[in-house]
Amino acid sequence: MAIQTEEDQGTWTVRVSGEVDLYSSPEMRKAVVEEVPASADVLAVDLEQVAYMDSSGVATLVEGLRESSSQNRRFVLLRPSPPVRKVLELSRLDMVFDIEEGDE
Amino acid sequence: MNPDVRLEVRADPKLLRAVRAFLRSYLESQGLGAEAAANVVLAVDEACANSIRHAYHFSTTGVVDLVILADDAGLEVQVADQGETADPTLLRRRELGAGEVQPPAPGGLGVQIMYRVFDEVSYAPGERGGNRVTMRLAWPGGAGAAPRGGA
Repeated sequence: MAIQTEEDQGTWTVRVSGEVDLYSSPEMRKAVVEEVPASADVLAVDLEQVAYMDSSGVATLVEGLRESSSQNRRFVLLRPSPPVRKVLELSRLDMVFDIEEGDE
Repeated sequence: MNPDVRLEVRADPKLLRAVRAFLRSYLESQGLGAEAAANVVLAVDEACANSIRHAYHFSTTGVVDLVILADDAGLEVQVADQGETADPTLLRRRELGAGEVQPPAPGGLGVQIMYRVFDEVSYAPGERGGNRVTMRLAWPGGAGAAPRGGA
């Protein structure tokens, strides 16, 4: 798994690629829960390049969503890849997230 | 019947990726379609992850045993550990009401994924402590539908 982050006009974007599992999800947690700058109004997690995600990845996204809500920050999933959609659906959490398919 | 596969994996999260790669390749060789195979890989990964997390509490000296049996009717996957025995009430199937949100309770999501992917999931404590989860899936399309083995 690899993580890239950037901040642009109040939007903190976290680009995740590769396989998110029990081993790698703590690193994703840092980027979507711990290291989000206080100045960010929007936290966008780009999941287009994610080849695999397990429930620890889903739980991390839920934590990011909760943390963002408590900070009055918008939390959005960008272009979730088919494996991400699948695990969200199997977790019955696909309706919980704000999902954007659009271009940058 | 002898199992197709017996795999002993040290309870290290870092090894799960290799287990998934093996499973994907095995299921493909059994003729299971890519989407169904991806679901099985996810559910088995969840069972292994639960052993690592909840039975061994991330102590990487433990071992997770994976056994795969296959016949014309379907597939059986057993995941066993010798760690702390789980509370069986945490391993029940739960269906959610409308608008209800799945709480990401410890192990909760993974267990529900296992139930949703496999036709049958059963849990038993091991003979000498530990846990064994047995998951069964009929080949999609009915008995013998999946073209098994090499041509």
